[in-house]
Amino acid sequence: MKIYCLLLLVFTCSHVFSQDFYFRKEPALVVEDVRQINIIFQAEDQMIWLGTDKGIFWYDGRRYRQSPRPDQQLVKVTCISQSRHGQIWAGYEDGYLHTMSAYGNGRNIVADSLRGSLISGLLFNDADQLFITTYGKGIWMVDGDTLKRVRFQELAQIDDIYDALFDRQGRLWLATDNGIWIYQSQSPESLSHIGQDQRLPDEIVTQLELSGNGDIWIGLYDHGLAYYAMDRDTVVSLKSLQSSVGNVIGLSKGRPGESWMATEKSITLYKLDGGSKEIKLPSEMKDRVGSLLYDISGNLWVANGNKIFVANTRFEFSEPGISGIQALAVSNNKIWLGCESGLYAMDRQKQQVSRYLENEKMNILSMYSDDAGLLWIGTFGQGLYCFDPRTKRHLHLTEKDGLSNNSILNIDGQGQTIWLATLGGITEVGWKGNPFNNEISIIGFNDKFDFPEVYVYDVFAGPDGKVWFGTDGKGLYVYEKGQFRFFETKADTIARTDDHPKTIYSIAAGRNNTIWISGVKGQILQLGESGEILDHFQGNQGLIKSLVLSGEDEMLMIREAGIHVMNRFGQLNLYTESSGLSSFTPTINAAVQDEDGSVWIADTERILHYLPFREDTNQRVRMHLLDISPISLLNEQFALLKADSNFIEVRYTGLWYQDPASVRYRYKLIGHDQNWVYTQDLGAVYSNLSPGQYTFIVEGSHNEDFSNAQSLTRAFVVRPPIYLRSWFIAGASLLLTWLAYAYFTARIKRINKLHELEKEKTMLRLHAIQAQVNPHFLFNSFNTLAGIIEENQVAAVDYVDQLSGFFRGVLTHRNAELIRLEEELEMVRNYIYILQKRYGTNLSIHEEIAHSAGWIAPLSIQMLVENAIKHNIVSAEKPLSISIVVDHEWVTVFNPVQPKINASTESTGFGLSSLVARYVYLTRKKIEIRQEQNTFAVRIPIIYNDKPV
Amino acid sequence: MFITRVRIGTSLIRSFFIYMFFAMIFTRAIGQDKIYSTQIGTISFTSEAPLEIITATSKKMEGVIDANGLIFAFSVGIRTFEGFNNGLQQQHFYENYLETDKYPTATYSGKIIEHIDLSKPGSHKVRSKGQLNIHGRSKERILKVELISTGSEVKVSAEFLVPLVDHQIEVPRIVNQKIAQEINVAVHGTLTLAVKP
Repeated sequence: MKIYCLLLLVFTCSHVFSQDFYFRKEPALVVEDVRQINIIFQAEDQMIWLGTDKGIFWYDGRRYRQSPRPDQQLVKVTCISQSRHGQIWAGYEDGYLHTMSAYGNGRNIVADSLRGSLISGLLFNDADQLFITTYGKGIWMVDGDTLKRVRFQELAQIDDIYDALFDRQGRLWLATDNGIWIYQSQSPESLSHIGQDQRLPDEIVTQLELSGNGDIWIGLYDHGLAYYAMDRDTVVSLKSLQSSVGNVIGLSKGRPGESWMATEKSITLYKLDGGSKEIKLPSEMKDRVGSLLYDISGNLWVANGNKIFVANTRFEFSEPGISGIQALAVSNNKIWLGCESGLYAMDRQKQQVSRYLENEKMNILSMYSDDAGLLWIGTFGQGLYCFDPRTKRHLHLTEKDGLSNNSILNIDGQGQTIWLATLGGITEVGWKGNPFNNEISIIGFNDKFDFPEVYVYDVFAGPDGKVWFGTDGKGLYVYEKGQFRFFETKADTIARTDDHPKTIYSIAAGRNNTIWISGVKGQILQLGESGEILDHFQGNQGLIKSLVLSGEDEMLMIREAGIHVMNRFGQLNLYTESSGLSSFTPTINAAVQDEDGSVWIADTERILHYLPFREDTNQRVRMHLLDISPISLLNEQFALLKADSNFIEVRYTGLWYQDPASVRYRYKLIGHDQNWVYTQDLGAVYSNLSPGQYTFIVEGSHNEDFSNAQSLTRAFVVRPPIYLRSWFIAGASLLLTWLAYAYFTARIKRINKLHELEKEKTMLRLHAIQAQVNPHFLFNSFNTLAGIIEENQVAAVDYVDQLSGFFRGVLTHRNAELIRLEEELEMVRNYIYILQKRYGTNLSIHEEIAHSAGWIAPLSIQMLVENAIKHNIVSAEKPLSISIVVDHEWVTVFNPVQPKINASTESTGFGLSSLVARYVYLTRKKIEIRQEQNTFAVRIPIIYNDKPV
Repeated sequence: MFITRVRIGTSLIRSFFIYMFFAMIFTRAIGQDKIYSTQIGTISFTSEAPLEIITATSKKMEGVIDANGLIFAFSVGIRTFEGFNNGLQQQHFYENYLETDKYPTATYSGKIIEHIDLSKPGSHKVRSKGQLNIHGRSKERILKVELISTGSEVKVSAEFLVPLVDHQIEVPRIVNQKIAQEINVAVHGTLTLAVKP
């Protein structure tokens, strides 16, 4: 039994520990239907691209999408690259290559000459000229539109190239079975070689990786890792854990001077200054490691089969195998752990945990390592210990020696003075030289400053010489140059007075002589020199257990829910279980900054080591536009949208691989929304936008602080519909005015013409009536009648019949516009009969009537006959012959011209011209008046169809 | 990453023998004959499955190494393997798994990566890179080989694994427990410098 106990003791005293990263379990990425992910590539815009045995995918932290090959083949991707213009290129096992973006495909390069060889590298020089390295067909260069193999010197014989890169000098490094070849393509063209003669440990070079300073990491087939330093022009072989590590399948540069190396079964972190560390891979990794990537945010990506595991490399965990850890101190490459059961130390070099002061029964609550390396230990109820790790001597001080209280919650110091925060006030302990040899002065603040015996939770000796004390219920006290006073915080800037901290758990220094304090409600305040509140966080995630600064000016706020890290730009990062911090129960004020700037944090059973990341200059969510509709908004700013496409649909994503689930978005359509819309959705839709100018803005944040967020904007204009545009309105109104004007003027013209016609008709009628009641005509007719009565009474009766027939016709038809030709002819015959009775053989009428269909203006022929008699001599010497010819189109009345010497006074010339004017309205054909040498002829058109109704 | 790649449609072994023919004529002409060869090399394989261990050996492996170009070719007829636990097993091996009617030989040809001089006596641990063709399917392999040269003789010994999946050798599920998915192969041979006529 004794032996067993001894064994147990030995076992607990030298427990081996390791420092591991935590691979977050959820969300682990599984690419379905794919057997192996063999490339993880991060583009300049931070997007992660995955090369698999079935094509290329992109992954934004939440979901992955395939970028299909233009020919739709599912082939193994063998390299992913990015051109200087930012295009993503993929090369495949079958010699195919193409470019793409997350939105869709770009162009593919027709490279028949590469078919059948594996594309191992796509490289762009400073001029964005493409070099293609293959496994099987050597190296090729794209020159304009042609692809040609580079056959410079030995390059003609080198067919198999595993990997390639451009160094800072623009030289192309080629990893081959025969060492490294360095090709300078710019003239003067040159080729140099690094092989075993240059102390390259292995001729087969499978991987090359450019380090941050321009040197090259070299992955070897059998001998792990080597390093080429440009300035020294030598190859350094790096120590590997095993004699044969296996084929290096992936390299990824880490922090400066570090590189991550993957073989199929392991991941190792190499440091140039010596040492390597194999990473413990989670048990879920059952397949071969396919690839690895250390991304620009410090996440370690490991592809295993079709799964991706991500580790947060800012936190290392170690389990020293002790429980009840309550205090922590760092000195001499040891992490001192104060536990309920005593004092332990983790030796970082030996990776062993050992126990110290085994004989002292101590329940350690606090520890402080002073400048001389002495360890001051505060216990619960057992007073203060001082331990010298070199000599293993120790001192023990209690209330009997003048301590305010035997339970010491915290210790801090400056030079050769320490202050104790106890359950019963404050004690100052000072010494000269070595406290083991010289007298120690102990001053209780109860006595010296009349400070009450209250709980004091934290003491903090600031770099400016001030010593701060956080008390329970009494607020903050400061001790400076012998003065001890209450430090009043100006609460007026806090909205709720109960947020004003009376109980202070933890204190840390801020920049520019400010301090940070954390209160009992989880609130954190930054105080200026005169107590003004400069910054304020209201934490709702529980009590802050410790505030501690890292070497990179970051403040760590440690609570059970996770660790907030505020960087020097004021940006907050939250590390929780979902971002690579396993579940964690921190102990109060058990966090301390190491000499290298890292921070050690104690959990009750584990130790966290926070490694600040100097490259964290500006940590924010990178916004990506995935899809936008209408597509014209994709690249354009200020796109013009038609009125009928008055909608937009935007799909976006924010990259924050550290904790993808924490990303929140807000978006706003300026011109439509008044306020931001806060969401976790990856898209926004607006429809039925009225015409106007809009700007869509979306921002992403991982900490709900959008003040520094990167935004994605698209401005566009929805154009009004065509009938609302000003030029159209102006044109249309002009046209309308003109149309109205034209219509009205035409109408007025027509009305005027109608008026004229009406007038003509009236005049004609008047003239006809005048003619008919022409007393001359009547007189002549009656004279003729009187003569006939005497000679022949029967003829007289006939004459009267004819006369009355003529007048009846005149009366019947005078108001008509047109009459039948036959009626007119009938009337004319009556008229001629009357005339012939008067003129006898002196007047002869020749009729040639072909037909009598059609229409004609009333009394028109009669008028022509009348005119002929009126204007010409009708006598025995000169008998007048009038001809009336009717053909299909015309009625022609003509007579020889034998003018009277005295033109008839009744002739007004009105009759004929009036007839002509009337015919203009009746038909398109015009009345023709022809006066030739001896003949006067008038042709009146016969109207057939257009008889007015 | 690219080492385990199938190269399709190569007939390296044939082109190698053509090369050897010309190389022999050429080297003989200038009197620098450095071709080592054998026809009685030993090759054996072991399948260590949970239910059965199968071993078979052939002593008719042919091989040539050209010490000038450090290129090599080895070949063995599948039907020359003997051993097995019973005749039926041997018959299955020939006919069902390796389909010897269609693919009568297994070959491995390529080059030696390390620059060694075999004409001087010495022992070398080198890596050979070449196409391993079994069951008609080629696979590029980098195999570690030990070469012990006496100047006139080169002893070759190598051990390596052949995953069945690399060469599309399909084993019925019913005998899965009796045949391993990766077969251990061991090669031993003594190649002698061809005697000048």
